[in-house]
Amino acid sequence: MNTDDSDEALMLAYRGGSQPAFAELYRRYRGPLYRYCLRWLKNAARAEEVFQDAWLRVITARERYQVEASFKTYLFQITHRLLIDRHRRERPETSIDDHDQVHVLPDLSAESSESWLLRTEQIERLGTLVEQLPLPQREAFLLRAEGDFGPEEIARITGVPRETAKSRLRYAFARLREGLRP
Amino acid sequence: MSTSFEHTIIRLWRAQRTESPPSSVDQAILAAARRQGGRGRPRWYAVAASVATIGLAVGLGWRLNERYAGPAAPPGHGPVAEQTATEFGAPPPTVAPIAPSPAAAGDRPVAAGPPPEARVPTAGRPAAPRAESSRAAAPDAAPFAPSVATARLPAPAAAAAADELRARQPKSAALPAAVESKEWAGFDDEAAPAPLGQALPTEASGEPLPPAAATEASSSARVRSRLDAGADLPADPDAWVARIRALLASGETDAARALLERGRRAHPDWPVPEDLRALLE
Repeated sequence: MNTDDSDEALMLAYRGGSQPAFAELYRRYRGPLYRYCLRWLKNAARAEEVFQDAWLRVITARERYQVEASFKTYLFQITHRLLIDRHRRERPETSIDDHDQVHVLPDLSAESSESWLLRTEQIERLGTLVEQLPLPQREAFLLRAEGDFGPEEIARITGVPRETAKSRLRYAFARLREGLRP
Repeated sequence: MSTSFEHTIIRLWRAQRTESPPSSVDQAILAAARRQGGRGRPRWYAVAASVATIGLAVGLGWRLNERYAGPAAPPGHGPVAEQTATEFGAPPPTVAPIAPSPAAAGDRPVAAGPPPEARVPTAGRPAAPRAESSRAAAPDAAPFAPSVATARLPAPAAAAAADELRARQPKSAALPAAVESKEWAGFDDEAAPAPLGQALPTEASGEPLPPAAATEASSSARVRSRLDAGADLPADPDAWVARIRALLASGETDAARALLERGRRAHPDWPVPEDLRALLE
């Protein structure tokens, strides 16, 4: 096992019985995946439960693992489904799409510089603004920021068309920009 | 689609958000991975285990087959016996036509069969033990068991074989001490060697004959052939007389008389001692 191995090679190695391969995979994604759960649910205890469930799914399904997509997409897709299931159980009357509100995008062309973002008070507001995003946009932002996914992968993970994922990302960033405007 | 604004936001987000799961969660997940990984085995492991199991079963079956099925095969008809007999130029196994009892060698019980090692497959066994096995399993393999072979031959052929044996063996050749003393100790007219061309009782009767007894019988037949030819008589008449006197001392008068008569035939010019002349009357 080499730490330079790809995620997929590590997962295949773990499927073959290599414990270090799993440890390396876990080391790579424990932070991003946990924060994805934490910011999605806004609750540490519930985030830990979903986080554990996601990894246990990976562990128990290792024999069936096939390299059809990147391991990272596979991991976040499992976690997304667990989050949706939990969301439906806790709020059966609502759907994640209900949060998919359409807003008028702010005019970003007038902004010539982001230097204002460097101000400490603006940075501290970022976390609050993300938590205030509608769930679909928040999830798209989290997948972009924590998992470094593009619109294509976000669409795959969340099960929506690519344009929808792209639109959610645009709205998320627009709202953050608007909220951070001094 | 990414803009510098988005990159800046993401960079700031990652810099500020460093939450991570508690170590207890880490340990629980890694322990679960170890447990699950320990239960699951690589596929090659299962394949290798299956092959090893099958190989073990086949090996055991082979050995058991050799041990329990092999000895029931009639001597001289086993694969080893036939193969070795062919290898060493022996004639194919034949039924002894002159044997008083029609019992064929194949009717012998297991105890009379060749030792178990004679049934080990030929492959992997050295040639010399195979030859020994061939002798034990196929007594008809004449080149390796001359005395037994001649004992089973028809009378004319047996006589010819005996003549050949006599010609090959020097008359003064001494037998091994153990065999010689044994023959002399039990020598009498009743136990006199059967005429050539007649199977030994133990072999012809079809009764169980342990391998050791078979070897002993072969050895006995060989010795008796020599006795009949006079080759066992000491070259020194004094030693011959000493043996006759020993027989008389042990009460074996008939044996002493028979030995004396044969000694006289071998040494007609030698005067019979006075104390032994009574035997000739």
